[in-house]
Amino acid sequence: MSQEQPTVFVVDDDPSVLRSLGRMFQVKGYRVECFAHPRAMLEHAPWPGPGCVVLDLRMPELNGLELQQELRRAGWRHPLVFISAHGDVPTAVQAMKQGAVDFLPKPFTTEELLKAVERALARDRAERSTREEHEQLQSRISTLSPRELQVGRLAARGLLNKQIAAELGTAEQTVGLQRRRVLEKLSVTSVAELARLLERLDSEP
Amino acid sequence: MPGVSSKPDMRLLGFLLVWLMALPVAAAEPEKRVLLFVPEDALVPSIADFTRSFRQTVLAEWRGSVTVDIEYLDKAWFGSASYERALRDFYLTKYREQRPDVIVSFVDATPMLVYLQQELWPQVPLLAIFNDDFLVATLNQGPYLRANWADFDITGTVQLALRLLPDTRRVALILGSSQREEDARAYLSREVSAAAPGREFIGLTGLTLEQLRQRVRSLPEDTVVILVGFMQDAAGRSTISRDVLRQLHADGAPPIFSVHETMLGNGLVGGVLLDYELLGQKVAQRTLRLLAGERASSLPPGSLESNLLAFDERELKRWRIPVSRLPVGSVVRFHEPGLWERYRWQVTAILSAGLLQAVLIFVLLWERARRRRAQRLHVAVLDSLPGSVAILDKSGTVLRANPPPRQGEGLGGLPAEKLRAPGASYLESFREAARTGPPEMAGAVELLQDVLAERSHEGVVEAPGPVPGTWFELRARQLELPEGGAVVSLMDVTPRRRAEQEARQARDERAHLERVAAVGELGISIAHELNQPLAAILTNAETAQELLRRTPMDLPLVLETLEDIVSDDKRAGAVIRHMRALLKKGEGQHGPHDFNDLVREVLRLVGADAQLRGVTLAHQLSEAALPIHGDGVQLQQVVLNLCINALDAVSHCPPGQRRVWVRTQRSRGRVELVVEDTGVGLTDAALERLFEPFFTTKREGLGLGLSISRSILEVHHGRLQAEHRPGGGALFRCTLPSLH
Repeated sequence: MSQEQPTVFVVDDDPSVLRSLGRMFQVKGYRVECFAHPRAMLEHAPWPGPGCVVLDLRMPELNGLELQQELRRAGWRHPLVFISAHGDVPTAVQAMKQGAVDFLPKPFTTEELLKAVERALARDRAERSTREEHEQLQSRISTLSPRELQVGRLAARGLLNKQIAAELGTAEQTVGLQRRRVLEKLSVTSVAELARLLERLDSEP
Repeated sequence: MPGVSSKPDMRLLGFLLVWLMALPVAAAEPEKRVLLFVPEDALVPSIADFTRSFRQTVLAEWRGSVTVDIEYLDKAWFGSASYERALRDFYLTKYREQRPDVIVSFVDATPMLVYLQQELWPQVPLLAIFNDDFLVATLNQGPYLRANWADFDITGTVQLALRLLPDTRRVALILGSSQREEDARAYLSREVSAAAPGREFIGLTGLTLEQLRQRVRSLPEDTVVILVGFMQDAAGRSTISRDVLRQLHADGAPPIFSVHETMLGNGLVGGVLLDYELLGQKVAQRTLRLLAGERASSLPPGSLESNLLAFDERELKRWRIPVSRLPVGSVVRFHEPGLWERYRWQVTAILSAGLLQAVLIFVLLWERARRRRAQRLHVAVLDSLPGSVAILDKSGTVLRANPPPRQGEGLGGLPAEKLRAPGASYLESFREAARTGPPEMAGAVELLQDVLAERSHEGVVEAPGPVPGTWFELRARQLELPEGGAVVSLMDVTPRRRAEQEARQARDERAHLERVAAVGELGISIAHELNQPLAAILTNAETAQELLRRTPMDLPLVLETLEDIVSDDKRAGAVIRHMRALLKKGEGQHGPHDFNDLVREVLRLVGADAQLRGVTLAHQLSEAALPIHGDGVQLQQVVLNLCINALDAVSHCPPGQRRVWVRTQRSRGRVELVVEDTGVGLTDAALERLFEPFFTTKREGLGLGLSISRSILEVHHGRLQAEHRPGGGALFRCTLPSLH
């Protein structure tokens, strides 16, 4: 797991708000990057490291919701925290639906914002570890031959070697051999464990 | 038989030969000769008329050459038998060697001519003219003689006279004493008395001229005189009938009728008259036929019909015979020109002069009446005028004034009675009022002095009256008269002043309401505007707290943070201040402003709102300052109103197409603001009513915005117009006078 320091990206068209937030995050020990314009943020290559985005909902040309979609399209995976100078419930609901972590009406206390940011970072961390685990799983699966994966999946469904052989039209002995190889390659000890592993693989994006 | 049959052939041949031989003779035809015998001397008018007309007609109408010889037998005056014998021998001798081509005899010359023809020219055609048909019957008309007659219509003339003068009781016949007249006397008397049955017949015959005149003078009034002829009187004196007629007429004879056309115009009333000229022409026509070779016997027999119904108008008038009583076909001669006909020009000139004078008099009278009317009108107008109107002379003394105003109409304590008393000094009264009244009254005195001294033509002064709270208006105008003077009117304008004040207050209140409404509409964006600095302040304050807790303390960062707090706080304060200014009631501060600053501030206010609504609000303000003079807040209200209207207008457009442009520029020496939007635009009907109060196209809106904006601009001498924007939407153009 990488112990990289997370970066907070702040987007607000109001210069004084942007300044105050940037300074606050710095003082609080975050790495921070400020953008006075949503376009400026989009010009930035997607950040691979941990972090989150704090952005104003109302901005000229591109509002927060649109920026949210643009960032996703550009490959940003980081959670978003919306801040807004006014409480606009429908917009907030839509933002949350699109995966925002939080929606803070201005003015907010530093504590409120930091809590939201921490939540976002926590989610980022979780998502990142899930993504990493999934990637490891994927790489382990990728060591199996296609026939082995087929046998593994059927075994995970609880089928006996004989049943699998009938299904695939091969010898029961061959199936037994392949089954053992699958357990070895995926370093699992039981079929139950194998079933859980495959389930996880299928459930994750 | 053949011999017999050949005899006519031989004769025809011979005739042809003669005719052929005669041809060259005809080609050089010898001069023709016509011989005319008349009974009387050439002095006798009828003879003169007849011979002249005969001769002229023959000469004019015969194509070859012709001579007309006339022999005057002078029988009336020398009518003895021996004279006649001598004449006969004389003519036999005179014409023995001559051969006329045609002979014509007129009336009494005929017996002599018949004789001469027999003696001298049995083969020469003779045309004989008589007065009576029975004389014609006595003649033996052979191939060389044709006798015609031209009647004297005695009966017709007598009957005509009686018809024209029905009250006639006596008919007198005048006849001379020549042989011929003596011969005809019995016959004529018979004829006349037969034509006038029941009337007394008076025969004036066998008289000397003196006797005749005497008798005629003594004739009663109810007599009609028939004058047939008077060639000789009883004493043997030769006369001419026409001269006799003149004399009798001059003597004052009763109405005289006759049968000779020649007598008309010499005192004759008229009659069935023998026209000798016409007769001459008719006889000449026959003579021409004889000259051409016709036989006398081939000429038509009978009457020559040369009578004429003719009258003398003067005589008709004299005897009061209306023209309507004349028979059809009558000729009326000697028409006496009337006064008008004779003096047409003189009469016209005199009448014209008279008419001109009459017209002139009428015009003058009318003009006088008109002037009086105008004067009465002027007085009526003057008297009916409200307020106090007075006419002053050059020194400011009242010459005339309208009556005192109705009750309840005051002049704010001005000495009204004194001001309208004739003879009082208006100027002095005003000076006095000005001494005690408010200082503004000095202006009124000044105006009066200026107009009276002809320094200014006209002027109006409005000033507070001596009684507090009252106002009067003094209007003075020079009288355009050589002696100078002025018309002054004094009106109490307190009610108007009050109404104006109330209207101004109402307008200000409305403007305030509208501002409040506009600010209310902006509520959300104002909240945004305030929230931004507040959010920054909160964050900065907490950051500062955090920094202060740390050791070592990053003092520069603390200071920087605090500075940001201060500036953000100021920013919030400015928003509040501005809002308060907009919400503030009453008249704002007039002063110089940069219009760009005013617009910029409004744009900042609505910028957030535009963002909220997803509207692209672009602005392009002129680089140079746009100095104006006016109430900044009110003008900002106008700009704000236009901007909010534009934002509202585009709210129904799809996102991305909501665009508003705000532009300021200098245009023709004025400051111009243009606000454009891409909204639905305005219908023509809406364009027309746009500036009416309470007209609105919005669902919630007072409809006062544009009407107030316009009235604000009017106060600032500005203008506000709405147009269709090319490319869709609306365009509002607001102009203000530039300060420079």
